[in-house]
Amino acid sequence: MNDLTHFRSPLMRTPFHARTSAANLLNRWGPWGGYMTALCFGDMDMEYTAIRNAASVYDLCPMVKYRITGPDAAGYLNRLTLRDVARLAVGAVQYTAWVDDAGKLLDDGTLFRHGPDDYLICCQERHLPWLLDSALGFDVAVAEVTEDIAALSLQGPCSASALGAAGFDVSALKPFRMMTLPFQGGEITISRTGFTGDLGYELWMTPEQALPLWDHLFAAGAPFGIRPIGSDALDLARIEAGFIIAGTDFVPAHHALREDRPRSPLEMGLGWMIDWEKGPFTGRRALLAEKANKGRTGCCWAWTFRAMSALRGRSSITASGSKRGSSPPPPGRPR
Amino acid sequence: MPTRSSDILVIGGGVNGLACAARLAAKGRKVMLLEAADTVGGGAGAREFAPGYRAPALAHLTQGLDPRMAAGMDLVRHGLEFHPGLATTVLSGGDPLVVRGGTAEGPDSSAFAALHAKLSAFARVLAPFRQMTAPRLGAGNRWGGFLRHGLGVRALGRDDFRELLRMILINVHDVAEDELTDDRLKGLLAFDATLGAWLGPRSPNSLILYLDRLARGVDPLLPKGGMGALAVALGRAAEAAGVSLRTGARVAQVLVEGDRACGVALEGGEEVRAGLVVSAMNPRVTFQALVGAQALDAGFFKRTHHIRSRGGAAKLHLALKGAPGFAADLRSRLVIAASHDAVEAAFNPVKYGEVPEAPVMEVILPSAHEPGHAPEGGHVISAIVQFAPHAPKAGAEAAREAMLEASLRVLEAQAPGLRGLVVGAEMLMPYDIEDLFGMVGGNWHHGELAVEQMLFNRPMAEMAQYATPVPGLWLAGAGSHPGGGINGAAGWNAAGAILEARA
Repeated sequence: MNDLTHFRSPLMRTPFHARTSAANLLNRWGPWGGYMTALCFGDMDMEYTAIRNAASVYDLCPMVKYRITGPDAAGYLNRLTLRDVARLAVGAVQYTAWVDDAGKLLDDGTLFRHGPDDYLICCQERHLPWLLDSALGFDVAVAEVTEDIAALSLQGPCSASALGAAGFDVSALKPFRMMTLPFQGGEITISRTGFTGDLGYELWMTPEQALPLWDHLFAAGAPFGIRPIGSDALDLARIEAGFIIAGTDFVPAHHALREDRPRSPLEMGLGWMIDWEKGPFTGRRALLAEKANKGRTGCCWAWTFRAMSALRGRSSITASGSKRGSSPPPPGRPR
Repeated sequence: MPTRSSDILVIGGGVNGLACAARLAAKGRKVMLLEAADTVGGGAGAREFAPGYRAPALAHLTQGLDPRMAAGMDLVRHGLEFHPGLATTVLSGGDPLVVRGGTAEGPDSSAFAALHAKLSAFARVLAPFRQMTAPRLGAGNRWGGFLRHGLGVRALGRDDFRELLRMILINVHDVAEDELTDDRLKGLLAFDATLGAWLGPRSPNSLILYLDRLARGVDPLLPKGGMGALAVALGRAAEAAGVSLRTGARVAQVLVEGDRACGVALEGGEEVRAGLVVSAMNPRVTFQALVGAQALDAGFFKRTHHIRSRGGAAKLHLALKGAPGFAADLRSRLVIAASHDAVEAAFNPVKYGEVPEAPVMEVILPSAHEPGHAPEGGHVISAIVQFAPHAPKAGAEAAREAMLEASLRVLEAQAPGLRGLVVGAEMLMPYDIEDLFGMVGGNWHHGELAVEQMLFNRPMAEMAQYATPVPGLWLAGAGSHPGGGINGAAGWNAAGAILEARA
């Protein structure tokens, strides 16, 4: 982007754009992490139904990705995040979160351990300054690799069958594990992870593999009702599953303008993931103090959800059609 | 097998470490003090820099010890005596000018007396703040003391209080211009305000450092037997109070277990356990080298890197085979600064990593006061030379040589023939001072003393009350309120805070 024309296309296109734009009958797009992302391809109810009854494909490329490597990588991540990284085996994935010194959430995300000293963080928000600050005193390298990795989320009860039909045998893959499989002379990584609460996988590849893989997957998955889905349908599914999104369900502490806005993991129902015994980590002292004081725990979860939905135009809850700004109804399945 | 040898471990046997340890021990705590060097004293030690010539290792005068420490440690009983307060002789191009307290010769005699009286009155009402834990925003303050001292300031009366508010954040160059006409006095005022600081006279807020200096004492003091004697007396007093002194013990790591400081590991691997660890070391060294990132929150650890600690003072030691020909009493404190502009001009190059052509300096000759510092007939010059770059563009060696040459040139101009008397010379640049004394950036306050790093911002808001975010770990060094300067207030205050917290 050295030609100073970046302002002409403020949103980037993902490596799947040729296919997603062709499939996007409604031409409904929204911004996500600096990318154009499809909100709905044609019929949100059908897309939701694909998640729950067949196989759905969601373009995951805008997910922010950081690669952490180096001899201190495990120690670094243990100090950064709430869960015990020492328990994460190579080839495994952890849903985790991280907070600032005051114990307020910065983001949640998934942590992939690709090798003994090689980790990948996938998350919603961009955190490079925080990750670099956190790296002071650790022998690690932190690299932003969002553009280097293309990813698809394949979710739904038929997802394993669709993968099998495409030649990817994932029958032995357990939840929160990943495996590497050959694809057209190269390799892709498939993890049994997702954001829907249903059976599902995430497929990780190079940007060059993106279109061939899309075509291959849709050809093989056709008998299973495979269909691309947009963010609207995904939001319904993830709310049903109780999954939260930074910026929607809580304000990341670094973005909060009002000092009472940031939320702690205890307030957000993520207290279960805090490993108090693993040793020091950023925010531990503040969270311990909050736990000791009981704080505002318990009452804020629902309040935050409603207030955020009212305040934020892109709230998922309003997707069911209510006017924004009014008290939103609970998310509903398609009738 | 790790041993728990004491209740409290104090790291660092400088003035503040000794003061803290002694006060804690006197209150019945079992205290061990660990010092890396072979003798205690830190910046107050002595150093044989040429065969037969001993100079104060770093500081060569004190502007006054904290009176609570001096009395509480009974330093007189332990052999501490001072020479009478030193007069100051300002050397410049013209006639020398002798200044003692508020009494100056020359055309500005009455103006200087009035200025000195005014600033001394300000210093007097600000001094009590040095002896209390800095206030914090939030809970946990002892408001009684703070309000009492605040009322003391207000009791200056409306006009003087208004004048204090006008002046407290002003720069010393403006004050000199406003109040004085004699360049020699302007130079002295500017020099004394910026001594040991990373500020020029024109830098904002430079006057407050002069007020702080006056709050410590009016005339500079030289211990009988040299600064080394002060270190010895402090060490003896600490031992008499019950402190177990252990020298030659360099701490490699503060041990943190279960989120509590529980002791230290020495270089060589030995572990010494204690219920509390008090670091009288530089706060940046304490957290970055001794505690380490793992035990600290990421944001906090990052902020420790922002404690500004640039040193602009170099230390010059000259061994002379005869008496130098200064046009002054050799027992006075010689300040070579032609004017306030000369001080500013000496500061300008260091901002860009260069050595000034004509540094300004404070010179004392310990050998003029008593024998024992130099062979018979010889003399020792101890000079604090400003300003010296802490990261010179020309490289460490070249800058040291250039600084020595520039300093000799300045000295030769005031004492013709001095070069011919020199039989040994040592120039300690800020980076040398960092290596020898663990002072980050060579800043001898262990963090710049400047208004934005004072009181509740010293060294950082989270630990301005001597307690750190790591339970069981406390700070007691010059990096904490109220700063350094061979005074002991920081260490004494820290001990008070520890006792009060019943930690």
